[in-house]
Amino acid sequence: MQTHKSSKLITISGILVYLFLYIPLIVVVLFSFNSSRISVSWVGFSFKWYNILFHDKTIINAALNSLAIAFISSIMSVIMGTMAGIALHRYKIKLLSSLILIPVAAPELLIGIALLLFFVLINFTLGYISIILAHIAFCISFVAIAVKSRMHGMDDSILYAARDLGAGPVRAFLLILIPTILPGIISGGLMAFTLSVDDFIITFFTAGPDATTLPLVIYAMLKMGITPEINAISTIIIIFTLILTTIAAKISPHLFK
Amino acid sequence: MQQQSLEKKILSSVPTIYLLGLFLLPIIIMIIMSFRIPDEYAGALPLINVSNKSIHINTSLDSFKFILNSPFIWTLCLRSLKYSIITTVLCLILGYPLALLIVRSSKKIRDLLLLLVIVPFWSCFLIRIYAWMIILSPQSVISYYINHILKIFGFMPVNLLYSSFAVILCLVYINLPFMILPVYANLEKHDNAMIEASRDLGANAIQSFLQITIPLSMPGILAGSALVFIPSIGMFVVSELVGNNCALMIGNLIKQQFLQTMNWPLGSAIAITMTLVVLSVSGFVALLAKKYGGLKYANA
Amino acid sequence: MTHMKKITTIILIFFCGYISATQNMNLFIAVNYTTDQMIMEYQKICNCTLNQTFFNDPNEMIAKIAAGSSGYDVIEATSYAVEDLAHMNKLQKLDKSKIKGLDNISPRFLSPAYDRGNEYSIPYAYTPVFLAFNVNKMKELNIVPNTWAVIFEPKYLQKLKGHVTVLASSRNVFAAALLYLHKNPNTNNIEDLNKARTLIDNAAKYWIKFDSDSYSRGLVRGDIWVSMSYSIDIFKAIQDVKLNNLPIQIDGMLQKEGNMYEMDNLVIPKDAVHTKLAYDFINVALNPKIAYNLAITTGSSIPNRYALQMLDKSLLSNKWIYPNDAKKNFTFTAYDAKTRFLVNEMWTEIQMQCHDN
Repeated sequence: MQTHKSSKLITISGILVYLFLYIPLIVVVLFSFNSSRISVSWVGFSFKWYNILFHDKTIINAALNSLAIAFISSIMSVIMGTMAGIALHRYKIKLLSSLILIPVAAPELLIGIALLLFFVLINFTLGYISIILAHIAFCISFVAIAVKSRMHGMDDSILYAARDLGAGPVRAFLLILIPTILPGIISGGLMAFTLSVDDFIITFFTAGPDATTLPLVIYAMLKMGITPEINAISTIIIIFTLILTTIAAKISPHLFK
Repeated sequence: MQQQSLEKKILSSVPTIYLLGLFLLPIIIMIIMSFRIPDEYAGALPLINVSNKSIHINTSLDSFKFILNSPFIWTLCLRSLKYSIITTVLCLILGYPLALLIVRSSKKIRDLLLLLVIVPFWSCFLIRIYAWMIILSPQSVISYYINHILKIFGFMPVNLLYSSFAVILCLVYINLPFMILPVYANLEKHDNAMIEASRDLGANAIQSFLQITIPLSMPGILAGSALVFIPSIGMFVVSELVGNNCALMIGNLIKQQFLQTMNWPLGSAIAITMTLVVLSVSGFVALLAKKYGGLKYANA
Repeated sequence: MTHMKKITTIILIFFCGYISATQNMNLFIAVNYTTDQMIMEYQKICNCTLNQTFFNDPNEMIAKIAAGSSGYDVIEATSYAVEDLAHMNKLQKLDKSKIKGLDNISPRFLSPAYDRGNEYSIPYAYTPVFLAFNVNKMKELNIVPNTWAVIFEPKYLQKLKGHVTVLASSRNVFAAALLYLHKNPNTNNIEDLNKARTLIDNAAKYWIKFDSDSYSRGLVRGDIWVSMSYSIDIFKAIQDVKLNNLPIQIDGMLQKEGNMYEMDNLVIPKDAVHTKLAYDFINVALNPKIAYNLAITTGSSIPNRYALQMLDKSLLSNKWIYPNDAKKNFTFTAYDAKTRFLVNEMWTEIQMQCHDN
């Protein structure tokens, strides 16, 4: 009887927490269809903020920039992250395994200002390249962790078998190992992509005058206060994230454990 | 064997070099920066001055002395610590039951429930702060009713937005998934036999929860706490967007030193002080946990 | 698999091409200080993309440039910023032969004290700083905001607590305090600055925010009653109210102790890459039609005499856009190094302190 009661308690409190997680997001989505400009109370249904959004060159440019940055940095970080993941699984490398933990363990602010100082002191012009370099750095970690966890349950004997059958090390690597850990690589890459698109703090410190990304534009708009246009962008981002997350979860269900 | 070591070198060297260059080197530069002397307008004086005959090294402890002698910096530090600890505790209180719910639900809906936690975790945190800016704004329905009720009882109206309440609420909101996921990952590994055994031995649900489940999930709780505590303490965006002057955190000061006043040595010194505070708190907690939590049951 | 490869290559080429496709002219300027017409006209002439980066406070801009932030082709610099940047050796001497229309600027704005002979800077526009307010609230509370006392004296502030903002700008807040104390707003005198600081510290607990971004929205919403404001923000807020038929009335007023105005100029940094595009931009800004458009769409006060002739009387007679008492309206001059450091330190502390007890 008691178990029943306590599990009921858990269910109810769990549902309440889900509501806490989702009600704010639902509010954002709902208000993106609100026709009023200044008021935060509901006035009427309208698509006008999406219309305005799709004609706002600054935002569209920033969104394209964000996608381009995320695309390049996720590809680069997938390559290096996979290497790191395999290396970490096979060999105990203390230095690399602690380097991988930095973006997880250190406050982002710290990484942001350290990178800012670094780029300025080596006279590297801040801009898209510096943003990409920084994004690759923190994305490597997440890809490496995803790849490593995928390899965790893997049987190395296939590889040895392939080698015994005469496959060269490169062939064995490309034809056997990579396909086996591909789900880990893809979901790590998707994670890197999303992290890069969403990143604000590190981008904020490493962006130069020329560079704008979507989060930077959203931040500038937030500082000016509430506008329904932000709701419209947010809604699109939430849907975008929902799709990517679902794909990543489908490909590699063990990614988040 | 030789081939293997070659492979090891190739695989590990590229990411290692990259991360050394973009993580470790910048952090070392920042540590050195904290001992340099601020330049007239911004940045720092050259570290080494070579005049015609002598080489002079420009370093000083002024930035650290300034921190020690500025009560307002310590106020900010203590406030950040306070907010982060409250945030961590609230995340644990909210996150633990949710993680428990996911673990105890059937396999089919488990993946869906987990996905529902991850979606907000993967969407830009600026949006998540913005959501609360709408809900708490003085014109919102919630603000209206709360102030209406307060008025009935004869209290002054309150501003929900731009308050420390809003800052902590947003910190909890954006960090909650960081607590749920590690706790869930840990709970998933638990062996139900242990709980059943305790129940057979006469413990009630609450007893077995407090004495078995919680201590066993200590590693998950600690990991989650670290993942919530560390980003919270350096966060500047939340207090900037939904806080007032009395809810500013150490991150705001660091950001200001780097992007507005441009006193890099001082900014670096404050960032290092903050990191030391984070490390010592985490170290202390880890030590406590090892002493009282983990060991007891690890040995049992 | 080959299909995948093809698609990936195409996407990659597309994105790389996208990033480096057009030539950008990088403008570093305060928020709301350009017009669509100006941008379109300019982009037609230069065949480039005008890329704007915004700053909120001249000090922030100076600090960024001093710290080595580069990549800009034109910077909008207020009076003392021109002095500071020139002192740091960050500015190009302007080649007057490439500038067309300098004599469009009314003579009293040429060759200013901060840049004799306009060696580095071309006047662009100016923005007075004053108190803006909610008209009905002021009537209700019986306050006439014609004095800085309204934001410094508890007598007024007690009625306004939580509904006052001041700019997040050290120079403007200190200048207002110094003007109220009848001191030189550009003083380097430490004693005077300390007095100003005490005044600010005592008043700060009544202010809800140091805010240069969203205060005008607060005025429009009605939760801010008095704010230290830039003319262009208030101009925009009043337009907003009219456009949306909001039941609120906002106005501005100069203060009897005197007001500052930020005299803003265009300068070309030494490391500008697209110098030709930079001169093109200056020339577009000097065009009377463009300046006129700037004046009527943003409410910026303009120094272009031909543009002024086109302006409507009602705009010209607006005292908080075109103040006419030269004895009571001041521009900023640069601090000396010691004062700058001291004021920076004071400002950090003022901004970071909780004044609520």
